Amino acid sequence: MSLEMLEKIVSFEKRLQMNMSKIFNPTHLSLGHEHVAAELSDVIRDIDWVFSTHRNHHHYLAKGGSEEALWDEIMGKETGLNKGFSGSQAITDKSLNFHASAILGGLIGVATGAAYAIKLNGTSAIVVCCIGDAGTEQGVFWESLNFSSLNQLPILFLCENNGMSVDARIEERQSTEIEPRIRPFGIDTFKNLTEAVNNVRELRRPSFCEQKVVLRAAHLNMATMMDLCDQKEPIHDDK
Amino acid sequence: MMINKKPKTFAEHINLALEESLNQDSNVLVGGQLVRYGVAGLTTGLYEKFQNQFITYPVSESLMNSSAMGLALAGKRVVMIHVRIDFLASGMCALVNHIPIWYKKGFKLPITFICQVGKGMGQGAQHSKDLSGWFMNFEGWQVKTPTTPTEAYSMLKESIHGDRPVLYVIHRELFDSTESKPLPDPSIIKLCGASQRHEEEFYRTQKKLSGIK
Repeated sequence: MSLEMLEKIVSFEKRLQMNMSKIFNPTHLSLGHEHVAAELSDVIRDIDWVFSTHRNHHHYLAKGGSEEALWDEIMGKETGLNKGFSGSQAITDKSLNFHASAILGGLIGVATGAAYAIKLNGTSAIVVCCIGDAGTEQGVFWESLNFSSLNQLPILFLCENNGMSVDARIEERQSTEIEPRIRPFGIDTFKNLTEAVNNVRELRRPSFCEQKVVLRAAHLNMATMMDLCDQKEPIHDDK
Repeated sequence: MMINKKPKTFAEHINLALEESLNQDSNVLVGGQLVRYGVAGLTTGLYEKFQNQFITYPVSESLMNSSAMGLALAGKRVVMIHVRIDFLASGMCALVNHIPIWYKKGFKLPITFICQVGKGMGQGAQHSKDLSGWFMNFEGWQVKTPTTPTEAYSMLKESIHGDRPVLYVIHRELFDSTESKPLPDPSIIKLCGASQRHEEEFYRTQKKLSGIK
């Protein structure tokens, strides 16, 4: 795992945490998730596509994104990645094939479509579709599993399971463990992220990888979005 | 490949526009649930010629609508066919939350959703709606409703080879028609819960108006 990337993500997020009162759009820190992205940065290539969620800073930096452009975007500046239009949640970088969305699970089907186009184009690129545990609760996730298995698409569904959807615990929301529900679709499942990426790259088959993580920050920026959840910043001490 | 067809009806003109576009550009894709099977003439005979440019979808409208955006981001020109506009509404997220916003961000999104509506022809409460008005209010969308067969052809070609999301809406009664048709006056159609009663009311009123007993 790239220690340099790990440090880059953590220092970026901590710098944001110190500047929360200056942020006026919903911003979700990835502290506690950074090791997943650091490992991804070792195996992801420029031609690959990454689709992400509202919690996306670590994925963007791991894909090779610019810290400065991301910072300015979060701060709502003209010099930001999308001129301040997207804010933290929906950042897009065409040059890196990187897209994120604030709508939970909203890009799962988009990622699946991109994987279909890549298959038709016959390139060696792959798609990594990053979701959280709650992303698997959306219907389109199961539609996409079926379709990507049926058509053998080069896509990895990477699930960072932090066990929380804002304040709601996973036990309140889901009937059983996620991974055993994926396998019957004919999708290879992995605990190791590098192995999962290699499987998609070499066999051009859809795969699923679950990474259990603990979020070491509040769900979102507490300074300006105080009313949205029942948490304090930070909720976990660094260990 | 030379295409030698003399289209007359709306459906034949749409079919020709699709065939020419598929032939002209291998990035043009036709997707939907029943696209292999003709869709009442719209795609008849095309699957056999362009198999690699056809995508058969499961009954997964959220996936159909959102994957259209993914295909377009990766360089494809997408024609997605919903046999009823009511079915398109089953997967609205990408149409509201993603496609218009990514278009505003500056992405070329050549996506054409072909939808049919059946308002006024006795198709019941869930096959009769015309939701195209919604899309006129969403920034980024263009709504196209052809009124003549040749317009059906030219509007579809413009949409496929353009660079923006288009909702292409056509009334089911026009498919086999060779000319424009006025829609029945909506004020004489009474909406009610059961489609049978709806149809009875509709045709009784039509008969009364035309003097048939």
